[in-house]
Amino acid sequence: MFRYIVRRSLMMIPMMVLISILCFVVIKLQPGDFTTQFLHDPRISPEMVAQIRTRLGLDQPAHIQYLTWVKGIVTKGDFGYSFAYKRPVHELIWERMAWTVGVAAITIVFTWVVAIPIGIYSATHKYSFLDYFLTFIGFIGVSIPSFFLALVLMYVYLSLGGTAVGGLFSQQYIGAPWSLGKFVDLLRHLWIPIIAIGLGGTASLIRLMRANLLDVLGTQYVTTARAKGLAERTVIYKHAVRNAINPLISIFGMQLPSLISGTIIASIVLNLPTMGPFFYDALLNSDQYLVMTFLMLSAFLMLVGNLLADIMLAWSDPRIRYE
Amino acid sequence: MKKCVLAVLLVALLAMTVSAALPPNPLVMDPALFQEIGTKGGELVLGLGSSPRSFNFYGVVDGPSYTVIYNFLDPLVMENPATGEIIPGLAESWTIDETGTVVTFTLRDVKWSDGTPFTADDVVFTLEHVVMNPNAEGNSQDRFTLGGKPVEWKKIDDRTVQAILPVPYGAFTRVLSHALILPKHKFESYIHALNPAVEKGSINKAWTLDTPLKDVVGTGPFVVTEYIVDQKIVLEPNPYSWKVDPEGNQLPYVDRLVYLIVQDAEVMMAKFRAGEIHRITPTGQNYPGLKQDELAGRPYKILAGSPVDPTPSPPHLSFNWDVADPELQELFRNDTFRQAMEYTVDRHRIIEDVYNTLAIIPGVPVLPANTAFYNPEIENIMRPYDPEQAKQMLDSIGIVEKNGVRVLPSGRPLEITLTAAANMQANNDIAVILKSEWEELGIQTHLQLISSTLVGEKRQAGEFEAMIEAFGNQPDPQLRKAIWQPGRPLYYWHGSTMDKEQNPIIGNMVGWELRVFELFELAEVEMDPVQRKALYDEWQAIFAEKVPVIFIAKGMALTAVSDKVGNVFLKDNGQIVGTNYTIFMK
Amino acid sequence: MSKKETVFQFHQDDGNIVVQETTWQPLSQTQLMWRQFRKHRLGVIGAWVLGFIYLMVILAPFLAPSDYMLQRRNYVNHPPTKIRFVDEEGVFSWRPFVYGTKRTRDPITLAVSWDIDTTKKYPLYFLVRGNPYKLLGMNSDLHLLGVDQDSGGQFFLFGTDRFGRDLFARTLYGGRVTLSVGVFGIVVSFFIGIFMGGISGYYGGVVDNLIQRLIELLRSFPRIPLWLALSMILPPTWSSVKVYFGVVTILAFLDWTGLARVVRGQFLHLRSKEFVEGALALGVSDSGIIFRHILPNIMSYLIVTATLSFPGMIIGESSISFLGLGIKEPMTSWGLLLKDAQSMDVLLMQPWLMIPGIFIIVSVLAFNFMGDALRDAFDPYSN
Repeated sequence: MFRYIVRRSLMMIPMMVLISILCFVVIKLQPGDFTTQFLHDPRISPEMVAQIRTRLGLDQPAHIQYLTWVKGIVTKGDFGYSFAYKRPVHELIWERMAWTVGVAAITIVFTWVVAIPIGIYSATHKYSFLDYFLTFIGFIGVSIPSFFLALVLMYVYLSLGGTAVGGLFSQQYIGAPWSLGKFVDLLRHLWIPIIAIGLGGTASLIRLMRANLLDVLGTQYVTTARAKGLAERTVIYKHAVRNAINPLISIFGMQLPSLISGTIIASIVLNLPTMGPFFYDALLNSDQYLVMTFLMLSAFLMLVGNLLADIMLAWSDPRIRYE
Repeated sequence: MKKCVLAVLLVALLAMTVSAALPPNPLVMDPALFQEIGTKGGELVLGLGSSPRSFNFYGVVDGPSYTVIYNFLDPLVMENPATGEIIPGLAESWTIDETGTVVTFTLRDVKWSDGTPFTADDVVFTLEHVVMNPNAEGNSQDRFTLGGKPVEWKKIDDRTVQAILPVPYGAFTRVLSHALILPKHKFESYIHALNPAVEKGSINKAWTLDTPLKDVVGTGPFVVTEYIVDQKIVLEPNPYSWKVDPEGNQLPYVDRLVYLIVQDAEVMMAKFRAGEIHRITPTGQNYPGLKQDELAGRPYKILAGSPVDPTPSPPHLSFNWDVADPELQELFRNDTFRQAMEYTVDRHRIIEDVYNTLAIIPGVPVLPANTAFYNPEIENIMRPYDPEQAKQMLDSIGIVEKNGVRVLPSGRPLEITLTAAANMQANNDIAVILKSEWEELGIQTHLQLISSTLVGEKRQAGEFEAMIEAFGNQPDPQLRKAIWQPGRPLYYWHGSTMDKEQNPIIGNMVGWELRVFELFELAEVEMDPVQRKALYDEWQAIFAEKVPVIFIAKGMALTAVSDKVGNVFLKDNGQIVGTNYTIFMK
Repeated sequence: MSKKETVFQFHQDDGNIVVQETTWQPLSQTQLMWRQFRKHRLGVIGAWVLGFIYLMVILAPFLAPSDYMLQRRNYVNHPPTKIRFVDEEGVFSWRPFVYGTKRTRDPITLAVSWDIDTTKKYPLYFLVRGNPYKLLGMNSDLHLLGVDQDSGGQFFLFGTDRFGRDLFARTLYGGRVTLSVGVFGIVVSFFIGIFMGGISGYYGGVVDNLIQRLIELLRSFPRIPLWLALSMILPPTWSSVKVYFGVVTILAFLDWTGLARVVRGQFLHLRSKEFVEGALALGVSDSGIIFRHILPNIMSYLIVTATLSFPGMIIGESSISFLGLGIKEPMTSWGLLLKDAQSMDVLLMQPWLMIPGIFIIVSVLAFNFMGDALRDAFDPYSN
């Protein structure tokens, strides 16, 4: 196993290079570049736009731009410069990291902590009233787009006289030092984003957990375990759940990149100070080094996530061989 | 009696200490801006559609950045927020010599917010090294270059500056009102010409968002005191602010001006309704809901004022004269065709349905409220909705209907692709309405509804057939020369009037275009306002008659404001007034 | 429990495949599944509802009283028309009718309201003449229900949108797009996902390594620049269904990776089970093992995932429309219709624009309940 992990980790280097080339090509396929937006402003002559392009190095062939960028990373650890903000890319990303990871982590934890027990309950109490009820709520959650749910929640909350809509804090607490008041204010704001972003994912996980567990519960060895007189709790938690969780491990691995990207549209609708909307803007404006750095970060998290998932798969089922 | 005198003296003394920072010659703002004299204090919270990119006015081209920067920097001369007229700003007065080419400014005796005196050096520095700096991404080089030569700036003494124009320039003070003056002592180290140690583009890296805020100084009513990434910006009064209300109280009134960064318009509206944001710009669709709330006693009101601002930009319809297809090209260049198409535009329906009645018939394109330049004659030239007339005119140029389909002279069915921005509701909806009107006439219409950046791209590349676009109005047509003068970069529907080096190609202009070209050239150097108006009147009449583009509607100025906010109101002439520094909190 | 079920259960018993392969009859399995399916009452209802919705969208031109593209400038944002049996005087009639409406705009709030004009009464008829259409190769102008088209009356079951277009007709036509092209996309990406994930997990080693790296490459692919590039390239004269079809296909070729990762995990897991190793030892072919032994075991997971991906597809389509791809005006889809309802002012002033949202929710529910029932039907142990 150790050899496998080392080999997979080393493999990440060529993968990152390949991914970066691919991403760069796709970004370059996008029509226009950062200076295109200047064409809308009558103040700026297209001649000026050409000058800006030269200064930003956008007039050079794409492969030169790419190599210059990679050279900066390798030799100086410099991930480039944001055309829009005129600042180093890594600073901009770092500034937004705390809230992004914070909100995403809370949502992911919420999703899993809520979904797994409910899924287990649903599967072990199949066709009970509560199973039907939770199933129904879950499906409703799946069928409403998160941004729409956010809107409806805000609307209802507002018409009931609520005031804590959008964002994470009331205005006066933004930037204020932490206090009990600020914490309470955060909680008052946080529930809408968590429900809106988390409900869809939670509902899906509940369904998947339920389906898998039902599969496992029917298998021979569970029957055998029961026949041996093991307590039902032991049967379910020690044997069945451990087996049923296999597909969820792969899903969990894939969720790692969403720590930083999250749900872009929902974040915009909820006015969260996270990286999602920021990245989306950068993409539409072709702020290319910002986009590239972000994509690389997200790709790296994905590679790590997949590796972790593979390790966990092997742990959950020691018979799995990758070699 | 004695007691009284003493009290008065005491009050006067107190007043002097309070306004110690007030300059000797403050600017008394137009009484029309005040519904009542405000009281000091309170916090005004506004929304900002996205994070600003920088605090450097000339380093970026970005609306939210400008919104914030206009609160802490000033131009030499400014537009009176109540009337749009040019009034003194950082220059307390100016004189123009008889040749019309030498303008002498006397500067106001004021200080930057860090206490450094403001001098002629700041003015000359800003205009020479920043405004005219080709490396600054948001420079205004074009506006201060006349006939290929730049305007020269000379310091006479600390409080006198002279501008030497290569030729007389009618819109000079107007363009100056858009040139904010920067503090030399904070900026000179970023200028390559003065500090060869830095590279040429360094000017753009000045005053980025991570700059310590004590270094972001200004002469404006406010200074920036706090920026929380992607969440909010806080400004507080500049102790050296030089604007006062008619009773001599130093402005601004409010203690804090907060911009909450809210990307989504719905959330912005929710925050307004919840009372967290005090003032927003709604759309026509929001009006009934807000008005009903207002009548039901919710603590806010909505105002609809006659349009004076550049935004919302009035949409227009254009046909590409340089389209690749030769038959369409000939058609689009045919005046009768474009006039016929004007008859298919149902402006009243669009105003009713798209703008919820909150729009007016636009000028071509000077706004009716802009009395300095509007030519009322055009109202008799513009063609009202009349599909029958359109049919006859199409028939008359040989675009006849066969089995419900109009065919070109070659016998091919007439098909037009109409491009518009999907993310701009008005443009999108107008395109949908036009499609149904045109198909009624037998013209097959394909809609290409794409994001606005892509529309811009297609426009500049000349890759379209018909397009709905919109450019903001400006008080002086000179400021929109790049759009409406043939041979200019944004005269996009006839791009072949300009060569690759951005020079006009006179030979490619048709007769009336040549005249429009001439009119703009003449008006630029004309100093007499009456003569300038006459020249622009002729241009408007030609545009109305020949319809190079068909103007559709101009949305009214809408503002929704909390009852806590004072001095945002409708003037007698139907315009909305209310600037951040005249607002007070009740 | 019947005998056949016992046999079936035996089939899954690790290592006892041979017995099962000789005694097991294909017909009985289908019957069994059908019985199991019918037991899940909500699933059966879901199937019926789905069948009904599909029938509705197929018969859209006949069911809709008018053309979905027709703009009526005098009937912008008209609320749903009420069908009546009893008139103002309290007189009951067997033939349903609708009243005419009059539009007024409040001069102060500018809000539009519609007052019922009881002097104008339009009876509703079955099989009325209206706009001509082509359906299943037949030309016709008959519509299921409506008012006499020459009477000047209007009948909007779901109200109208901001161009005065009949929302009922638009919902039905939008459903045609969403329920065909969208579902096609899911099916394609599913097949690719199962195939790639399957061989990756089954064969392991180099094949697995290669496919996993390919998946990682595809997953890191930024979508928005790709869509922007495509929207510039595709000719605007292409019909939106054609464009959308193309986009959905591309999406399908990019989107199979998530499923493939999970399927691979399951295959890795099941591959090492005794019953598979037993089958291998008995010389069962690879495809036999995959289709007979492994796939049935992960069927529940696949079905649940498939039905769960349906809403994502609806929403995904409306977000590409913004970039100029996919469905565009005046054509429509459920995703686009929902997007029109996406503001608080609509919730307040034109709540009927949310009706397409109900269709989305109902069909998602139906798909998922049906999926649940299918899952149970495939799950041999459920009882």
